[in-house]
Amino acid sequence: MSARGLRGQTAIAGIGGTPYYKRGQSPDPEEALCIKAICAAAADAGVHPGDIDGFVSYGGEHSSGTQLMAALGTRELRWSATVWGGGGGGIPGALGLAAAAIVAGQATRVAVYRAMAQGAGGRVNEAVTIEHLSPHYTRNGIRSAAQIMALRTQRLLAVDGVPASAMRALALASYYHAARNPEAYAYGNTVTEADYDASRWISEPVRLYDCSRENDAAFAVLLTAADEAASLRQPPAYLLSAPMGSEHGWGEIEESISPYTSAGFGPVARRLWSESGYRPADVDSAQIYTNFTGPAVAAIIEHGFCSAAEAGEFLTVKNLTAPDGELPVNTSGGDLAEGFVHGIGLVLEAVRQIRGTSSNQVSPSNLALITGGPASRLVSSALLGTAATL
Amino acid sequence: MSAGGAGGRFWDYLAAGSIRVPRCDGCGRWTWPAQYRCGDCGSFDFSWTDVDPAGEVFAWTRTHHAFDRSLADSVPYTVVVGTLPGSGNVRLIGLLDLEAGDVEIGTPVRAAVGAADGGARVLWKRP
Repeated sequence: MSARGLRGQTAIAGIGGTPYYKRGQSPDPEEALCIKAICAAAADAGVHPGDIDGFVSYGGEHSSGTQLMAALGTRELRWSATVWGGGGGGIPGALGLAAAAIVAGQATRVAVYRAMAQGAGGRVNEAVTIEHLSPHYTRNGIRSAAQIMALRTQRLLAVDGVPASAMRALALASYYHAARNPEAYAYGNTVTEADYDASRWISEPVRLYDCSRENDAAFAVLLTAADEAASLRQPPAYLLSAPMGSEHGWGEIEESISPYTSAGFGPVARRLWSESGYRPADVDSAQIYTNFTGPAVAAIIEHGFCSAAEAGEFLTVKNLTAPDGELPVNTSGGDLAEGFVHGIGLVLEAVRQIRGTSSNQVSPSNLALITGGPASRLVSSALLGTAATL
Repeated sequence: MSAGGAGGRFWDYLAAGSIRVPRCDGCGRWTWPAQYRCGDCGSFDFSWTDVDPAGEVFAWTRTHHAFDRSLADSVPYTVVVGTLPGSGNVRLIGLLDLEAGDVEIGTPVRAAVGAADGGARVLWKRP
């Protein structure tokens, strides 16, 4: 293996997806949505779907490579794999898994995708519940990830001293961007501070507006070797790093994890900056997986954009919104307001920022961060860049 | 994760009225949640041991949405993660006794055995 790891050796050459449908309202079954998304990503890149030879997903995806290959006309299946555990924590890690296959010569064009149609696949809330919830939760009234994140967020606020205003700013920035993104589920909706403050408690300190949506849809990106991507139709979004992991003191150990209020990114973020050679101050936009705002705030802190003590000052609507904020986040509306298919939409938005085609475009836009699954058992991050960042 | 696995006996002891947690026979560490091997010393042997029930609130949430339909009449109800300083600071998840009133992080509580649908649960009470 090269000493440079994965840095810049692969790129996202195509993106595609279906519209966001209301949960349970997709006109197509889940597998059909998935096929449409992969074909759209292939068309965007200018590649025949049958020439895709790798399939990678995460978070309980139902459509495996072998399930899809007949419909896609796959000429040869070379790589079919999924990131274990972590729910949405596996999204950027799935890019890393796909890139590892390409760099190691095991596959050439890998689709990374996630599809969800709740009639077929069951509610994501339940899928996450099955994975995460031991009887220590379920016998004590905990049936939702919202409640687990509420426990941790309570301590993030009370002990670490992060103000609740940071959570609100993240929610309002997401809705601000969605209101300006015609593809977003919350397009045209205005959510104000007063709306947020008046929204009902789900499980204190988590309010309704702190929670992600659930939608029916599918999205895919096509990863290829960097030199192939440069010869295809779209400007490549180079993958500069995509580490996954979990630190000592974590694992499948319920609420006994330590550090407790962490979103789990400590060692992953260190590897991300080390492999890419960049620092938080270099990032132009960030797509922050926001299952709930509290752990998403912790993710921003753990990537080094601010400390817990600085979170109130740094995490404001002004700083978090495009085009002029210090760190525009969730510029499509993200998981809260664009739509939610286990966070895969974040990858497409990061690519749009690199191409310069976002509806909330930042400028300049050379580096785009994606973080996946804050506070899930396994987390991952990815940094995408333009050719200038190589 | 099922009720079985390395930690399955927790529920058997709880149903019989006691709160027990495994201690490693090799190094004495309270190993919680239960594991098949002590990640510190490598021992595969553990002794399930009664905990000292004196604890304090480590984290809490008051749930307003009736995620658990069997608790729909109790909404809002409070779930507490409590630490047990006399037993290696292990953390147990439990329901807060409805008569316990409001709690904060650090509030003293006591781990007790409560009834639950389909078995027992940890119930956090005032000391």
